[in-house]
Amino acid sequence: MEQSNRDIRYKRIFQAFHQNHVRLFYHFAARYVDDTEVVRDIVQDAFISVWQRMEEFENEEHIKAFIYKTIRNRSMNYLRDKQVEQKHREKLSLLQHEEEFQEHILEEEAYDYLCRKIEQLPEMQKKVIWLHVDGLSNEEIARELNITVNTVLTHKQRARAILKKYLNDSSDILFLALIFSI
Amino acid sequence: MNTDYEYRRIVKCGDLLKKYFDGELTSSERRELARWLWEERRNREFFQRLCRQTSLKTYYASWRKIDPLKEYDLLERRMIGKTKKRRLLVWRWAAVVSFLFLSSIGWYLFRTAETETSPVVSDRKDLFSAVLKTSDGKVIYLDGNKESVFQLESRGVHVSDSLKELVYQTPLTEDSLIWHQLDIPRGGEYKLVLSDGTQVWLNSESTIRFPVSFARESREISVTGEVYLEVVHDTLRPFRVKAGEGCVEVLGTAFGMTVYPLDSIWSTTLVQGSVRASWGDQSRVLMPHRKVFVKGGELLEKEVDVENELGWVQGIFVFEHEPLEEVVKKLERWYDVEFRFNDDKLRKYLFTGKVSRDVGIKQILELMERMNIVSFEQKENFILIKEKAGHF
Repeated sequence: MEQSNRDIRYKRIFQAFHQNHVRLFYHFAARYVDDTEVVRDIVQDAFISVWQRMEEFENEEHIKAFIYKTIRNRSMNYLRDKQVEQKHREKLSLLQHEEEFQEHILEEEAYDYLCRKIEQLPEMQKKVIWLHVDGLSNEEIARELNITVNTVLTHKQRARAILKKYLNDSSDILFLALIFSI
Repeated sequence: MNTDYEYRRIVKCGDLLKKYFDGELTSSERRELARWLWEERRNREFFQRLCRQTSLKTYYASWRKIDPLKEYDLLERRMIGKTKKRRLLVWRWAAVVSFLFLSSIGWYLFRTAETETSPVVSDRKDLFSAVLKTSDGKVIYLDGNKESVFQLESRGVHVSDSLKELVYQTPLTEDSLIWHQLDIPRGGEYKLVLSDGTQVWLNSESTIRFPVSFARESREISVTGEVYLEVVHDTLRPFRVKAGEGCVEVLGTAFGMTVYPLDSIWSTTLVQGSVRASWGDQSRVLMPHRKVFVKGGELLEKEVDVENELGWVQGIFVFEHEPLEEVVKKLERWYDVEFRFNDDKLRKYLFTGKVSRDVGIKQILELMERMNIVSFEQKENFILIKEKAGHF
């Protein structure tokens, strides 16, 4: 009885958690490890460890902390073996440096948060932004989506306004710079 | 730093930052963030750098390229690969046990110890787990996608992202009630938290109609299908569940109901507290661990094992001397498949057994085949139940 209960409930939580955070952790691991297959391995290992001890976690925060720790340890192991190369040595030292490491996590969390907000934009605005981040000019975007340049600009403007609204209360001038880079 | 506490503190800080961006900080969280910023100059510098960042563009471009569904698929494949050997052993063990119990009519699936099980890929169709109909006629498919979540959040309904769960946190209203209806299709399962905090678990093919927020003097909902309720105690506002021709009235308690008007099935099983169950003009006050049910137009009562009765809430099928036709009905609802009998006498064949609902239907059928006199044959859009050749 206990067993099946665990399976069905935890599986859901686990899957939802994975869907919500896998991109965050990929990016985090990719900071230190440049081989994408190794990144995938490391992230998968971390998730498997989570699955094996689901009952130990109190909340999402707790799972996240555990994954960050696991990814850090695995990345360090990987980099230690590759120390002959300068770039790997540098990344290893980033991981070993407590404050740097702490800032990386916070930065990843903030970025991930904004990316999710972008994903929630209306379809057309999202498409415009996708093409924009792919490096297309307004004219190219217009051609691609079969709309006028003016419409492209309107979509960009609206997207900006919506993203700004997410940050309504913070009204932080500095923070807006981040949004306008889009 | 290498302690769990430190890691959790960082994650907590990340949360505070996000809430800050959202403008959702409570005053105590604002103080906490301020404290973190003041703690060290380094933190303040970092925060400003973060705010000035301009590399979101490149970050988003690569973030978007990661497909969570595909990644989950890969992860699951790896998890299953890892434990394949162990699961084969389990099956062999199950086979040995089945041999020992050959004379009994039961079938059991034994599971490995907790840490050793891997999640099993279920072959259930799981496109959306519920459909919500609002008072203004809007239909929202709850398939976990962001659009539907968004629509609901703007209506004051909270959607938990980790469970298939809706939470209504609407204030008490003086106005007329606004009714919502939640339909759980075959293969679905859902949990709902009503505005008074009462929790409702809904099994496949169930429907609940409920007000977005309850009235001052009473709480009333209506259900069909299979539900389990944990009602929040409120002496001033009795809780009434209308179900087909019957009704259950409670103050605060936990109980399950099975209501399938088409199959003339109506029952209520009490876990704790007390309820008054009425059906037509008959009514009974029920004690815990007892079940009241309708048979031949009469309201009857008996003692039951509530864990078995309400196994589905825990994610398991429990069959106790249950006719095969009832067993396959449950499988039909959960796996969204259809069974047909090629011989009607098989319908009354009795089954006993417990099995996790997370196991795929193929595995369940295999086990049933191995331990019983029936065999299953997959046809184009139904599964045919036949007598096992050479059994008699």
